[in-house]
Amino acid sequence: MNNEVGGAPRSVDAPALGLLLIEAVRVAGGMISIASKVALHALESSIARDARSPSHLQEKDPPANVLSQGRGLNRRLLKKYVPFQSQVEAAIGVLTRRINDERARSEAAADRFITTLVTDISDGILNRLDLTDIVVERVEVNRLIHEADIQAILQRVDLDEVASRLDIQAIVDRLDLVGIARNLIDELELTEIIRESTGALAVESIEQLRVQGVRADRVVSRALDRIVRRGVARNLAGPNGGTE
Amino acid sequence: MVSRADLGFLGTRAGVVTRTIAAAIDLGTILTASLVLYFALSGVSFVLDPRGFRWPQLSALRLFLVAEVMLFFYLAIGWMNIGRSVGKQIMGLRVLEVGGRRIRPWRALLRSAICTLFPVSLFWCAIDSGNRAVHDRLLGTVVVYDWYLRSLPSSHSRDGFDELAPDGRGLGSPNQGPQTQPRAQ
Repeated sequence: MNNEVGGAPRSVDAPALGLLLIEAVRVAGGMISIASKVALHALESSIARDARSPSHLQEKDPPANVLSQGRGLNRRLLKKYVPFQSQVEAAIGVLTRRINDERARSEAAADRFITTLVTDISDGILNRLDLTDIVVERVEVNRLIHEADIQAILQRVDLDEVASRLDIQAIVDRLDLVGIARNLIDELELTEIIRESTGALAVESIEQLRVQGVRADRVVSRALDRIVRRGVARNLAGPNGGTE
Repeated sequence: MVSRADLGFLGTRAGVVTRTIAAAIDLGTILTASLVLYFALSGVSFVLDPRGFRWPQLSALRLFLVAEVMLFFYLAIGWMNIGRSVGKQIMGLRVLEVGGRRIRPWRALLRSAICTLFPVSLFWCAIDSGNRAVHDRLLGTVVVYDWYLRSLPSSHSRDGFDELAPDGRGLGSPNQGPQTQPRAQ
């Protein structure tokens, strides 16, 4: 018989087959035990929910009642009809302990079997599927991104570390700096600003020239008045004033 | 920027320095125009006869006469219109009649002829008691500071100084206070 999971083919001889059978029985028993535990847990959970409802507050647990009555009856029967009750009870105790031990081993074996089986089956399935295609076709990535808490993600990212790894020069090389500068100049109307500021500068320069000219006029007038010894002040009034 | 509080000299008579600078600017303007005219004529000559082109040879006298004619018309037209030439515009000066009105065309032409033929007559204003040059005295004109042409601090006139001081008072001068004589017409 070949091992299709991936091992080399093994020849079957009597001891291996026996071990396989024992292991199979153990695994089966363990799976039954695990399944019964799961069912019992579900049953107990459902019983617990029912016990919390008002209509059941005053009632005792019927299955537990039955079990305790049953045990009481069992003891009385044994005491009455079985002369070797203590020996029987001891034997039952031993048997119970052996069953519990065997059950633990079986459950461990079943757990190992299920783990291996699930792993192998999963690998086989995944090897035959293209998960990328499946995600692309069936998963709404945009919705996932929309639902994701980006802030929480970013808080876990060390941006300084990321920035230190960036090649700024490569980024700069890919930028059209001349085009960006031209667009900036057009948007800011830089030429207009320069023109206006140049015009303002020219106006200020001319005003300064005029002011200096007026001062020079006064200085020269006073100097020449002193030279010619003019006694009367000049008439500098505008066209509406003066007696000329 | 000069504040309005510092513009008290506007409307008073200009001195020799500012008038000389304005005249120098006018002279530079005419020389530049003469050069442009020379090159323009040379260009026309070249276009008409490229193979026989030679730079026009003008005598000094001819050049001087051309410049004088250009200066005459340049000054006369400028004074007739707004009382200014390019040089006076830059220096913020304006030519007016003594009464305050705009200079009339015949006065402008005569004044321009005197300035063109006898430019040294300007320097008389340096020692004149009223800051007036020879041609100002002869023709009854004055040159005043007028930076803004129609927006002097107390001006309400569209023609210059007619309404500058409705009560006949001038703006005042560096040597005198506001005048009280009635406006002369």
